[in-house]
Amino acid sequence: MKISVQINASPYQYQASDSAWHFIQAALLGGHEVFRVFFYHDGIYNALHDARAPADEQQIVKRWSELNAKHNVDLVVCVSSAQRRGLLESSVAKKVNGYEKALANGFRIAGLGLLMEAVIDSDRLVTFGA
Amino acid sequence: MLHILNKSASGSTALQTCLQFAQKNDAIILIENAVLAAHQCPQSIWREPFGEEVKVYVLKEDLAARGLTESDCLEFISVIDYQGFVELVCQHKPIKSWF
Amino acid sequence: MSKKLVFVFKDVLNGTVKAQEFLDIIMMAAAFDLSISLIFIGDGAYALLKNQRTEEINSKNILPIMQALSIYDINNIFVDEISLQERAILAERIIPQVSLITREKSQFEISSADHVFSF
Repeated sequence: MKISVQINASPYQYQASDSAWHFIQAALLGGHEVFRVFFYHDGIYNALHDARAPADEQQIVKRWSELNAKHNVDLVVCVSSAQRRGLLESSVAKKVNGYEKALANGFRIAGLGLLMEAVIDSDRLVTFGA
Repeated sequence: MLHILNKSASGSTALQTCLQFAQKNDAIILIENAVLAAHQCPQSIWREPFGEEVKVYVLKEDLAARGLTESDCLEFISVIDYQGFVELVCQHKPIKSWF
Repeated sequence: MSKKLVFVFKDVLNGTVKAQEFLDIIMMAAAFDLSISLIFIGDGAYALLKNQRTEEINSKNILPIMQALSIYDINNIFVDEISLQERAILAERIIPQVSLITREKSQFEISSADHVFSF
């Protein structure tokens, strides 16, 4: 099956990101295609480049980057949710405040059109939130 | 359809509302703090009888994390793991998450 | 055949950006020409009350947008009538663009979707 995931909650504050990640691991292990993970509302905080959790805690942002690197899962951060919360795509960030790298590796910023595409093209879309 | 609950019955009206809308042949899966609703105890919110028309599942990993075991769970609730969760998603449509 | 999307509102939308971000998804779905229904259940019934003076909390009022959804060909806006009754909300207190439907129809509306967005 072609499965997509939507994540609406911030990491660490809620279990949603963790549940989603485990679900995706199980889906990949089960031979399913994970088409896209779409980060919306506070879910965009899963994509912060400079997140630094203590070493004995889950490295949630890093885990997402690894998921993209290892399995090529498309990680999309919604541009309007991101901008509202101060997470800017690099060319915009550079222009606005000179700080280029706000987005963690493996993520890309795009519009809600990609969420719609995920809804249309996937067999299932599972939402994790709070 | 598949209903995904992630909040405990005391944490949200989600489970209560879900039960009002669930129909025959739907499935419910309890994850995160909602696994507390699987615990057999006096404050249990399930109306009797339950489990014949709507199958209820609870996520093993979240149960264990909260110190609960399969034997703590109500009889009509089946314990499954993340692989089972994925299978449920594949078997049912649509999928509705309740918050 | 285009997919059927159902947007289920179970809570009020005031005071946070959620209302706007939910509407953004609905608008995008409309742009993709998908079949769209909105259904208000439980406390979501309160979201339909007329005369919401959101300026009192410096919050955005989404009612005008809700009332104009027909411009985007979104005409299926439903409220579960039992949810209204449980909250003693009379039909005349909610915006007129909403249709009252029975619990059975509410259940059918949700279960017949290809995908459900839950708010």
